[in-house]
Amino acid sequence: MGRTFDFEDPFYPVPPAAVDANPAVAIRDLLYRVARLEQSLGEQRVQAIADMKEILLELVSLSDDITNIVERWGVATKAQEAALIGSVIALGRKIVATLRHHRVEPIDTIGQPLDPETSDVAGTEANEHVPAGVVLREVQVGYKWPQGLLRRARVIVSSGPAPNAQAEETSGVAQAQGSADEAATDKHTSQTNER
Amino acid sequence: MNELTLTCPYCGGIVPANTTTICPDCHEDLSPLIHLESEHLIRYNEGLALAREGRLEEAKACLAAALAHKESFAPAHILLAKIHAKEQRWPEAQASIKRALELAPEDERARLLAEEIQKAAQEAEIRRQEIARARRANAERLLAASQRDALKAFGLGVGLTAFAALLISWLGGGKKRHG
Repeated sequence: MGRTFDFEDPFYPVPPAAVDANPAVAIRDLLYRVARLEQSLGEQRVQAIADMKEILLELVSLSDDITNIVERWGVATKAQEAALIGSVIALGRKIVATLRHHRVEPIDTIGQPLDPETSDVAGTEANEHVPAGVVLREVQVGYKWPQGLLRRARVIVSSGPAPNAQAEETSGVAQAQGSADEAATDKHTSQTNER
Repeated sequence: MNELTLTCPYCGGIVPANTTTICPDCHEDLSPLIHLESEHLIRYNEGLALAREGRLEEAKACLAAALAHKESFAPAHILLAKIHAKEQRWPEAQASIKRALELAPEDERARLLAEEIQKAAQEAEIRRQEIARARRANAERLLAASQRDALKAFGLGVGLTAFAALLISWLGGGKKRHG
């Protein structure tokens, strides 16, 4: 039996720290770290959404102010005024574009039944042409965004026809029907005369 | 000796895992990862140390663990072949060195060991045959001797029986004459 069966092979160099390391403990620590990071990331995300909401609400408010300015200004009489109002309108459009970029969209309320999920009632108004509970106009435009509702709308809702108007309407209908009958009779008479 | 390097999972840097467990770029401690990556080397080193101490059964267990982690690690097969050869388990030694040569056909050390094991196995086989032959010859000699002894005993028995019959018949004839 020769020297070949001796165990003189060299050892493989492995750092002692690696030999003594316990991978199970390390993996457990790592999982704790990942869990903490995930939690922190979730909190940061919630905070970022809240910050974003705040900024977008300010932008929406700015957009409302610009709309009010333009509406109050009315028709410009001087060239300088026209240029100024044009600049304000352009600024308003930029803000609207920014809002659209962040997928902020106005809530469509006018002519729709009141949706208490998105709108608050600022007042009611009698309207003989619009049924009760339908939104007549907006005092404040509501907005939605990918995270849900950004701002609630404030709306004026129709309370239906006023009681006296209703009575008037009934008599008016009768009158209208009478005159229509008269007109029909006149028309019939004239047609007979022509013949 | 192969250089063991790994890629740092934190920063992507190259870590010379033979010499350090700390990433040179981001200074993260990668010792658990290097432990997992070098598990076969750690088990091999343990097996080698035990084999040098003559604790061959424990050494074999360590090498089996090393191979369970990395079956393609040829040095573990070589060391296992040596341990089997030490124990004169030639079929196991031949199987281990055959696998080592499959994994590392260019390994001169493995080739020499294979030749040595082959030679030793043949010598052992010749010795075994000689011993078997000698045993058989011895058994045949004993059988022949026992057969001879049995024949002798049979002859002696027949002679004694004839003598006894003759003696009885002679004694019977004498009594009749006296009467």
